[in-house]
Amino acid sequence: MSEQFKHEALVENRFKKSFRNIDSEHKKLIFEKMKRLLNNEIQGEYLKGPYKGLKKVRVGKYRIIYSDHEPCRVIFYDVRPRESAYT
Amino acid sequence: MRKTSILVICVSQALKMIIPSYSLIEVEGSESTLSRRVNEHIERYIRLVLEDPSNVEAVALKLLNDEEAMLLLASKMIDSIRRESEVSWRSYLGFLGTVEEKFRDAGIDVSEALEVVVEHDEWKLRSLMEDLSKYVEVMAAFFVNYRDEAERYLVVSFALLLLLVSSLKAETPRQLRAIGEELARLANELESYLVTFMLMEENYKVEGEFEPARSPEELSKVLGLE
Repeated sequence: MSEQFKHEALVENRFKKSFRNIDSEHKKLIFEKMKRLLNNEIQGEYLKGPYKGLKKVRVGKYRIIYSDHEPCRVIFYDVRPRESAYT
Repeated sequence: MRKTSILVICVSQALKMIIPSYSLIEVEGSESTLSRRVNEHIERYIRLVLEDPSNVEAVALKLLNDEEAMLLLASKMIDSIRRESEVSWRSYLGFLGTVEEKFRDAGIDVSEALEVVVEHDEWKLRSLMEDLSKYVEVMAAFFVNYRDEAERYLVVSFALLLLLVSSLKAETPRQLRAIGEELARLANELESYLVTFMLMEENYKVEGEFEPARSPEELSKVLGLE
């Protein structure tokens, strides 16, 4: 039997859709970051104002938007490209 | 306090939300009387940051309460938008390149922080140029409904700008390292605001349809990695 995460993941359809369009190298990085979030190894930072329940975390050229305010659950809402022209 | 005074303060505070803080940066080869006045005016704030980089937030707050500085900045913003914005933007990126090089030469990596700063400023400029009414609507909604956070946003963005300018004047590696640490910390906070504004701009709402996963195998399947 495979190893279980510390927290259950809930992946929103929008996340899955965005994820499909990402290159395989970044897919791997994002997958690894999600595992670390689900095992409580890292924490993102809270957003502000109307989205203060959500958090963000950077993964290379992408950013994961998620929340962990429900006990034992991490909800992944979206993964978006960072829009910086500065590299 | 009279109602008109309160209104003036609110308008003045809200205006600071709209001013791109990078309008403080001098565009190479275009130094004007206005630019010189801005530079002279902020010199005292730069000196304070160089004395103690960890005090940058208090210095930014002082700058934000300096009505003359804010007036000069607003004028400079209008001036830079009036002039060719693409040229101004390229010069700004050049300025950041010089900043990054100075840190790199000292063995300090600030690239992540600079990427966030540029992403924020680029979003702000694009919003200003492409859909001003939407941009003002987002900023106003945030300012009215989340006043404390709006004020904090101003402190964070102006503190970052002071750090960037100060870094070029830093004389010791120790000073530069302290500035770099503050840059990283505040850029992370700026990013939270940036993502919030982006979501507000597109009126982001949670869809509510989820698929669960309890193990790496299940997650891999949900994401279509297998």
